[in-house]
Amino acid sequence: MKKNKFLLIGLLSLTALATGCEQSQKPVEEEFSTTALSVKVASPSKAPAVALFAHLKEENVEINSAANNVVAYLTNASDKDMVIVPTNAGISAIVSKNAQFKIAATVTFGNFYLIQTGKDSDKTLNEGDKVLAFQEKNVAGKLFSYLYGDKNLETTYLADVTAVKNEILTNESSDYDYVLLAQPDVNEILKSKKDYSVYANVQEDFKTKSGGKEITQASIFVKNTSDKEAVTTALNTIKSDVDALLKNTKSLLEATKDVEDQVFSSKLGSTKEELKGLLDNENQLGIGFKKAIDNKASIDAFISTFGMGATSEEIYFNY
Amino acid sequence: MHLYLLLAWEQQVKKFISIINSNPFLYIVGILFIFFVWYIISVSQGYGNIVFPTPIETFVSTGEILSSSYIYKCIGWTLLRLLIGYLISFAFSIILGVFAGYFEKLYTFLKPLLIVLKSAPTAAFIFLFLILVGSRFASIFIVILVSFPILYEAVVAGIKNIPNHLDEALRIDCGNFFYGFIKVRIPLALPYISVGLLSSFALAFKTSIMAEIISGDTNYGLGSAITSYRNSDPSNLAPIFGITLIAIVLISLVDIAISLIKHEFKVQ
Repeated sequence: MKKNKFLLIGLLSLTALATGCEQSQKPVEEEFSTTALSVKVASPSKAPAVALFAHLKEENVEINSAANNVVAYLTNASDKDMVIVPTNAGISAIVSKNAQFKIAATVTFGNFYLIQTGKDSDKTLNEGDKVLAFQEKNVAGKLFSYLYGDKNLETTYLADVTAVKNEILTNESSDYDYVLLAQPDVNEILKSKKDYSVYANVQEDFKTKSGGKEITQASIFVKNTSDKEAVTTALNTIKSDVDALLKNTKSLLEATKDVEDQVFSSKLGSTKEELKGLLDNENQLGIGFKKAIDNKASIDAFISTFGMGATSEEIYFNY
Repeated sequence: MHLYLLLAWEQQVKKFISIINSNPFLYIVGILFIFFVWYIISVSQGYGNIVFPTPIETFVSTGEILSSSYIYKCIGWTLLRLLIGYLISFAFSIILGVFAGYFEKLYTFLKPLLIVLKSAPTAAFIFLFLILVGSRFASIFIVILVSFPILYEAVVAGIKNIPNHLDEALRIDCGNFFYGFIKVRIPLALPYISVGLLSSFALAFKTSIMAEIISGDTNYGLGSAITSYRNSDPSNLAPIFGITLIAIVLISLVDIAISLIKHEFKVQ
């Protein structure tokens, strides 16, 4: 009996030790980086900036609240080595404005949702329905037009998602049947408007219509004159950060514990807990990391919605 | 007895009239008038704090903003960038302004540049500086751009307004040009320079906040704070009014400080 007791204790101790060892020997890809990026990076705030969650306080990292400001960095005059911009804008700058950059990886795969306001009696998006959308000539507007443009809808476009949010929250008399929004703003609106609900996941609709292709919404573009080794190291760091985040969303809280709440929401568009919730809930922000050259078919499918032709392999950064 | 009462009443009336004619009273009434107009406009909108928050809603929001450490860091960073830009601008305007004040030809040569700096839209330059130096430091250059022409003109005016006969007296009495320059010319030009300081500081401060908003910086700064609060809830303008109120108080304090310095120099 005594022998059995000792055996049991011994087994329990071994199990505890084994578990302990397992926890301390986490695979490298599950941990976000704690070393600063050695190259200068710029990204628009909100979803694309989530890829840089482990580097929010670094000197080399600029998160800008205006996406157009970051697109403006696609020039040799800027000191940025890497910029995260809408994939179509980056490719267009390379192809038509001879910007000396190459596309390296995609980090945002769409965070758009079509919301129904409860005012449409047949609850189906069809002819004559009033829709409020944004960015007529940019990603959101072009995707909307590609997916639902054949339905003869009455669509009103505003400048950006903040303007849409403002319209919904302030104009009590608005009579829109559907509203196009992007996460993390979708959750915020659903919280304050109890009649609203998600009607369609734009990402899924895009996949269905394009034959399984993804929305390659925002990508990292690398300056041709930047140090290739340093840039490759930075790209690998961002990849392992994103992988770690998707495997364990608590990384977000841990990596940003020193970042003040207001600064965090300025950069990533939401509170830490809400953002974690979105990542936990089927990664509604569309965060990921895919090497651009390996995802060329999806990139071509995505930019075709802007009337752009297929990309040449020359514009891809090989690393 | 009646006459005594009448005299006493007359004295009271005179006292009352002197109070309502006094500057501090008019200043306070002016402030109350602003709040009254603000309240009327706000109430007439009928949307509570959605479009135009009332003064009370703004004060409540300001209190909430001031209770977090974030806003103090924002104030600090805005003032730091403002100070750096302002000092650089001041140094340039002193150097160039003194020379341009003495040498008419240099003044004429610099005139087109000053016209460009004064009339070119500031917002256009923000985009240029954004690409060149990034969003965090773009506002420093905007402060230089906005304050330099005013400070430069003030220095030139100060130097030019020194009477000619003083030039001769200084040449005879001082012998050393720099001694006369530091001890006599600069103090004589100070009233002009201080007016330049006073009028350009508030403008530079406002423009600096605007530059922070346009450049899209998401770190610390009053402009960044305005963007941050707006993005988190675009329907609630009370925090934006609150930050504006903080900026007004800050600039008023600086105005008072500069006025006191100006007064001190005048007395001396």
